[in-house]
Amino acid sequence: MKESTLYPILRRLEAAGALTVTTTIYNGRTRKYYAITPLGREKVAGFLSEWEELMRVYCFIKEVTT
Amino acid sequence: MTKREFLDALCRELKGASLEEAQNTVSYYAEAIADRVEDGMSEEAAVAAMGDPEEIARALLGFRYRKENRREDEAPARRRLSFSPEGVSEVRVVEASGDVKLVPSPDGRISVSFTEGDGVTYRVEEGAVLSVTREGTGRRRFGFLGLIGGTSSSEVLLELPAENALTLRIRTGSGDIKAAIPACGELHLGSGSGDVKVASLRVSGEAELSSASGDLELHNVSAKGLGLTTVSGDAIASFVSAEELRVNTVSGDAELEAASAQKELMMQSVSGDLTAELLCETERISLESTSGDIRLTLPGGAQGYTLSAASRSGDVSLPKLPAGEKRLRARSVSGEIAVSLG
Repeated sequence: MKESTLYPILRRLEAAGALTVTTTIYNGRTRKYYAITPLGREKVAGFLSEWEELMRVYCFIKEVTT
Repeated sequence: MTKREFLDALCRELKGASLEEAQNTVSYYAEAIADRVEDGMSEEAAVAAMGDPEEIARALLGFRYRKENRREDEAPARRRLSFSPEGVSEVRVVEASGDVKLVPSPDGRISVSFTEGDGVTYRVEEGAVLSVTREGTGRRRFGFLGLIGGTSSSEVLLELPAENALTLRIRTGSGDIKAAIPACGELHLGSGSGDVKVASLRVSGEAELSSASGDLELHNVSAKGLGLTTVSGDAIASFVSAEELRVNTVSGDAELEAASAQKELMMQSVSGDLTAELLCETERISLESTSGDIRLTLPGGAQGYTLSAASRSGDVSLPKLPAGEKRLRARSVSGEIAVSLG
């Protein structure tokens, strides 16, 4: 994944409250650390369960058409 | 590309972002490059891994991304656009501080040239009305410490077919307008503080020339109706011809030399002097000034005028003419009125 793809995603996740950003001093300069929030974990769990549901629908359609 | 060059380019692309957003983005990429360099990557490779600054800004800002702003930082560049005159009935130019010059085109096409850069761009709209509009005031870099002196100046050059029936509407804020074309259909030239000069032009319809503080200068110009308007500038015309000739000034003087107005001559001023020398007879003449002097020379052998001239405190001198249908009216409060035969 390119940086130009990653950065807007991180910004959106931060704005949605799924991430927190901590800035620390490292090696004489600032460095950002991104950490997932409980809300972020919920979103991941939600996405994964949706994904399983989606895969079941996908397999069903595939079986019907073949 | 070095890290510095990359971050500068990114900054320029982030014109549509808020200051905080731009700072966050630049610091993120500065860190990302520094992280890679610390891991042993070369600066160039680390910058290349970031992608294109324009792409980054587009992905981040979406519709707020403003591409046109990029020109601001480019060196000034002269552009020349050429159009077929077919289907074009009107040409408009709106300029802020630059001069506008009208010249015959060498190839029979309509061409417009202007200089963009330093915060100045032009919007060009094609169609029956071809319009060129200056956008952006330019950087204040020519004046004293950038405080006095205002915007950068430029020139718009408009090339027009020698024979045309186009309506031309040209406006500039502080620049001069010069028309050196042989013909057009209708002419509207206006400047705020610049001069307007027209030479050897035949206008088949109406011609309106105006300037607030600049002068109007015409030589060998003919039109169906010719209107000259100034506030403090002078209106000076020689060998002009129109069915209806109107001149309005506030404090500027108006001088018509070897003029012809077949139907009507109307001149008005507040404090400016009005002077007119007519080559042929005119049906209605009306001259009015508050404090300016009025001097009119009728063609030799003129006759058939009903004269009405009055000044409250100035001298009035009129020639003896056989009375008739044509009317001459002159009014002044404190100025002199002198009518004579050429």
